[in-house]
Amino acid sequence: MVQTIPIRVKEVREPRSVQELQDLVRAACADRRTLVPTGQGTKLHWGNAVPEFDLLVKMTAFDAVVEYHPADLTVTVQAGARFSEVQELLKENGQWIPADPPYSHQATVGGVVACNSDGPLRFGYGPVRDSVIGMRLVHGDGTVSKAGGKVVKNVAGYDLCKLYAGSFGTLGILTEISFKLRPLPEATETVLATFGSFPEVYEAVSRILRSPLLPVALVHLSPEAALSRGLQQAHTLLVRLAETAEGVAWQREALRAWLPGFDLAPGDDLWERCMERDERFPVTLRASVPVKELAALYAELEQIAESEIVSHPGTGRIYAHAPALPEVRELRGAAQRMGGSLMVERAPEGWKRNVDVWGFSNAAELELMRTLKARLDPHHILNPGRLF
Amino acid sequence: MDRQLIRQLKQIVGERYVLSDPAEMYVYECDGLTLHRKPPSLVVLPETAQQISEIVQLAEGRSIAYLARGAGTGLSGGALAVQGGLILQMSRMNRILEIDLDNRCVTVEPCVVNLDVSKAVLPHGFYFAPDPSSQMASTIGGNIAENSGGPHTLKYGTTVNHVLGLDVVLSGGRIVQLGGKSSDRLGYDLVGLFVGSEGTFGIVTKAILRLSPIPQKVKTFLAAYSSVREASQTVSDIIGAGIVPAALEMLDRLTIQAVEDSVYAAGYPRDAEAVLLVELDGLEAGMERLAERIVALCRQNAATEIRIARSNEEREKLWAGRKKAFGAMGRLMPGLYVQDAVIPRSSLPELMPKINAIAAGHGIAVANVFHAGDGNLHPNLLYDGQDPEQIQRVLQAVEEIMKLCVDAGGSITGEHGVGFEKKDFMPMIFSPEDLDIMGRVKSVFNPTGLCNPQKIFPTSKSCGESGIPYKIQYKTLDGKTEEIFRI
Ligand SMILES: Cc1cc2nc3c(=O)[nH]c(=O)nc-3n(C[C@H](O)[C@H](O)[C@H](O)COP(=O)(O)OP(=O)(O)OC[C@H]3O[C@@H](n4cnc5c(N)ncnc54)[C@H](O)[C@@H]3O)c2cc1C
Repeated sequence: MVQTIPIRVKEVREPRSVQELQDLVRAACADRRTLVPTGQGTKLHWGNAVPEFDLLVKMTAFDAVVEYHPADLTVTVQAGARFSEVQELLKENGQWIPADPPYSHQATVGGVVACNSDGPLRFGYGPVRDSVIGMRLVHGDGTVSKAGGKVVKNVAGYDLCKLYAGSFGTLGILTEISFKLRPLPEATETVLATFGSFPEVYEAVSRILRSPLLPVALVHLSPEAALSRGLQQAHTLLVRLAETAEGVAWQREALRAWLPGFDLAPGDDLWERCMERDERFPVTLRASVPVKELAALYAELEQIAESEIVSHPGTGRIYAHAPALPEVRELRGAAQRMGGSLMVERAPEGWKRNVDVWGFSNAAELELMRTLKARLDPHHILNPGRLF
Repeated sequence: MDRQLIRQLKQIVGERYVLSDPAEMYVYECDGLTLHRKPPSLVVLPETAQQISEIVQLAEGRSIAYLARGAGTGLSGGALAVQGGLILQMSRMNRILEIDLDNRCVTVEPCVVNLDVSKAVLPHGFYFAPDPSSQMASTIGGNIAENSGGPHTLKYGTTVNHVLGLDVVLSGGRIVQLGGKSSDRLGYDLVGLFVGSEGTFGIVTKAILRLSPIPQKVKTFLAAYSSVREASQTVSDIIGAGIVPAALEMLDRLTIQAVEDSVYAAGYPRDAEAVLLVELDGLEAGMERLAERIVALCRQNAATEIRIARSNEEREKLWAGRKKAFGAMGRLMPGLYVQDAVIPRSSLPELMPKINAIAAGHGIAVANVFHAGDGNLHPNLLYDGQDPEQIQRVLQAVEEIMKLCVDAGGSITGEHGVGFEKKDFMPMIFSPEDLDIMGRVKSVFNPTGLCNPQKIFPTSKSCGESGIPYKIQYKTLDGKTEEIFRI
């Protein structure tokens, strides 16, 4: 479902080698043309509205698997490879990158890493950042560099992979990424339970978190969100289990005893459907707070936002749809008071021009980020304005 | 030393907390890497971020180098005051500030000892996962600076995977808060970047740490072998079978002997050439079957003995031998040089004998005790520190081992950091461009270069031994020059 490119560009380029990419960046740098690096364009709607860029740099020709060492559980792939295709390859050896970014069928590895894009599995396996062990990239002044390496444990020099993962292509264009892998779990299963209210959901989640159970993901659907996914109209908690066969069975039975309205989820595609963003709503918000504040934030959201709400209670994240601008400000204020943040993940461009998409609240952090950008992209040609 | 400076420092931290007696400085002349020594000019013991901010401003105003020091157990000379200057000994900042179980985190000051974090939350069913073998002494500030790992890194990752937020003091005395209790951050991941910066970005004054639930079941066993190769092959086979143990550690003959001769005697079989310590943790259901598979793989590789810990005491004993192995080696020789290279884990069986051969070739005894599961080696080269000729041979062996590991696709350090010790090995794995980018990043946090100078970056031929921070001029494409300090 790749949308039409939601930004305006003068030209599209598709470099075929690092040399070509470096030449392109240098030339753009010399005459101050701005660049948007992109994979398949699944996340171009993220970030601030920018009137126009000069060049869209498609990384799709960088789609090779560079090295795969199943015995070491490491893989190195070029940034334009599709995330799902890499996963397919790894699956042949019973391995995977433990992450479930949205749009994984279109998204490229570079795009997923550059946006540190994740799904509910982040709860059990950490952000995709944690799986990255090395990178190669071309910076805003044309410098080609590498960060990290190809072994699973490495503290040589600064771990710049942490900086680049989630930098939205504003510090450099990723050409190659190395990951550490995990064996695929022996068994996986999703169970669900229904509740009368969000506080009851939160109670159940707290109980699970204080128990020996090791779910890898927790997703909550509001009654309307459950209904539109073909489920009963009720607050629904999905619990994803991934373990040995015995471990999954034991956890399932423990949950059956604890949770009201317990049921097995109808097939794995329900899980997929929970990760897709709902395209019927023009505006998607992503609010994140410390887990303890979830119920309070949810109460605020219920008052204001549209009724279809999806949350990841294990990591303190809520996706909601906002009807209008003043509501965003109000909700953001609430999230920030709770020690969290709220960003506008998608919105029509006209809308975006009137709102601060990210909502940075820590001025000192922002200052450091701007200085980092100035050092690695001195002329501010990489994705200027998208982040700040 | 400058009397005025001492007076000003005393005004900031209090009379008792500035040490300037040259005799006292020797306590601070080195960290766990005793090969390099240099006493600082002054030691200050601050109690608050505000005091640190003032100290930093004072030091920078006078172009004096400064660095933070935790327990001084570092193994790469990270806390070495290369240029003399000021050491901020963090000992007074050792409080656990908040235990927040609902959010599964704790907030601590930097000089809290690693193990004390776990001790404080164990009664509530949680622990702090990073477990360097030095965890009874090393501090959270040091762990964060080095991105320390430990035996359980194999399954649970290193320190960086368990830090949510940091309060830091940066150049100019800026007090900055990075990250927080919410697991999502906006923009660049500054916390992730700061962890592992080896004390060269600034000084950590507070940390929010993620807690992990205590696993329902733990199963620890020991397998003994009559060759290192067979033990190494078992490691590869376990990983190859798709099993992620919580820990997978190896000790070789010399280490076993040292441990068994010490007060930490763990009952390791003395006649074994190598033992593996394997630990599974997590859900009880299914663990027995995994354990049986591992035992089968051990047998398949001709393990001479397999012993399963039947009680908590037995388990702790098996681990005590591992965690105290460094200490026990002190019995073998006065000097100990711990290497920390990493190799792709499948190359263990091939490279282990080669490493031992290199040491033997230089007439140096080597005892191996290491994180086999993730390929993080620790050949311990034993020497007599009084004998300069022996030290030379050790250094030669170290360099050759490093080359071997790098050629195999590895890294020069897995957890101890580059520090002062390995900075001239950096060009083995990083190009001048890679280092230039790191230098630019450092300059954002530490533009004066006075915070822990002469670490990580290779010695510049031009500045030689002078020890003075030097600037590199970096030309932007439009001909403008930007200046960056590189140390
Ligand atoms: C017997 C033994 C076993 C060990 N086992 C392991 C192991 O299994 N895994 C492992 O990773 N390491 C291990 N180490 C190395 C060492 O213990 C770790 O690097 C540890 O994290 C250092 O902590 P420390 O408090 O001693 O730090 P120090 O040695 O005091 O300092 C280390 C670095 O941290 C910086 N630093 C300290 N406090 C701060 C602060 N507040 N803000 C900013 N920077 C700061 C210092 O400037 C220095 O660069 C071992 C060491 C020994 C002696």
